[in-house]
Amino acid sequence: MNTLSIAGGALRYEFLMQIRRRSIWFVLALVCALSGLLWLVFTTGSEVTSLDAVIYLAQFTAWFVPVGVGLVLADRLARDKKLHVDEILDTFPGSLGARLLGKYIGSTLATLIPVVILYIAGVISILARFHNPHDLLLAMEAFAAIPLPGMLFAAGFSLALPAFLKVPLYQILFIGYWFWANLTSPRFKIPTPTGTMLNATGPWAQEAFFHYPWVFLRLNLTILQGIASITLLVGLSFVAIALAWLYLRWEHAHR
Amino acid sequence: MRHLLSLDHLRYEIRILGPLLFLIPLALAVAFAGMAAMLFVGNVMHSFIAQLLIAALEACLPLAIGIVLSTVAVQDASLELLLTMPATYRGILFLRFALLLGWTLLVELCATLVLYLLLPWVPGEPLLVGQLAWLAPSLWLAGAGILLALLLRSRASSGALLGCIWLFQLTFHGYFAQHNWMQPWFLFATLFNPGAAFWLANRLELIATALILLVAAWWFLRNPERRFFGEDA
Repeated sequence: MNTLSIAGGALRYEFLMQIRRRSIWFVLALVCALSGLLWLVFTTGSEVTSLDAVIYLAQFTAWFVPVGVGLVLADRLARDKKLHVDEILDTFPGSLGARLLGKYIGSTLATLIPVVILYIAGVISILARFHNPHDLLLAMEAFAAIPLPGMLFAAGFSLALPAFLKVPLYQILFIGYWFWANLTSPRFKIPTPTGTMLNATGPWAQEAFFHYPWVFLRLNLTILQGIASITLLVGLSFVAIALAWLYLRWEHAHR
Repeated sequence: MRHLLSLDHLRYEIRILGPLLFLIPLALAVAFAGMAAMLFVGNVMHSFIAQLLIAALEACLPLAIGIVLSTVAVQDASLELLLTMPATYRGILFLRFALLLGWTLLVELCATLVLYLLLPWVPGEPLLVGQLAWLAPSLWLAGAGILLALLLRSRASSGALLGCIWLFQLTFHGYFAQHNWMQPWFLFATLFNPGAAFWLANRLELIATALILLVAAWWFLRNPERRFFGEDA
């Protein structure tokens, strides 16, 4: 059995398992509703342009939704271990790395579906308000550049790190990390990666691609720097999965 | 009930819960104390150090207990066995909640007393009323964590929702402080609005809603077989 077909099979089953979890739909609908509430507050004025509306929609999605996406995935590996599914799968010929990759892509895609549906609802309301069909393309680009890399980053780490840490400990650390690394204002004089490429809420991509400054950061970036930021965030999520793979392989060898 | 409160039983429950869940609040308190000590040595402004320590007590430790309790609420390897025992399942579960919550509150109380003793410029309120700074958010996040985990039947989903509420309030604290209808839900009034007129009412309202959430969790568990269903069953 080749690696690709194992990864494909794992992807399919993880996707189907994840999409059927009702709690995920509920949690992500609530988190998107909280972000949507903020978006409405910031875009109700008459001076708001369609660009403002689209960028704010992408930006508020990027602030909180990746936390929801990441944390609902945090129990995947722990659950396999608890139900001893991992031991059954180890008896199969497929490689652990391919299964882990399929699990990451499948469960992340399924978790993104409620987010995409609710994001489209926001885009429809922008189209209804401004009657500008170009906003549809802009909104798709903004989704791909601003919240999507952050969601992939959060999903990758949330799937991988519980291989080393207990789930509640990981959840507490991840929430604290998200606030410290992405949302800490320079008013708090503590070292933070908020202004760097590691900010997963998309300030670099937002400024590089849309020339739209992110809340309190003025970065003056080129498009290449925006691409570098996205590549770094998505690349790090795969690095996390690779580290989890190495650790689990080591664990199996010493079982 | 008397059986549940025997020392032997409490000892076994602590062993079942494991040392990690009890270490989390302690480790967080020590980590923040270490950070504050480093800032103190680095001559950072006292107001910032005070904010950091209040954030630890009002935001970080309460979040930790909320997530820990949401895990305990839906994780039990011997659920079927427990339901055959003469002691009620919800009695056992609430005993576990009480042990973890009580331990976290004790850590917070000791940390606050140390602050009043060694760094009296950190707490803004008198000693007795000042305890509400950490008591109210801890009880609220504990109640919300337990109820959400039971209703959603998933610790991961409950943790995700708690985390988003926590981040949302921390980032948009100004909105919570400004609007009357949002003030009763504002968890971080000591950190951002210490002298506000609504502070005491906010603390009491949070405690009242926390008690309602805990009573709702108690009521939910009147039929413990509901625990057989769900992602973590």
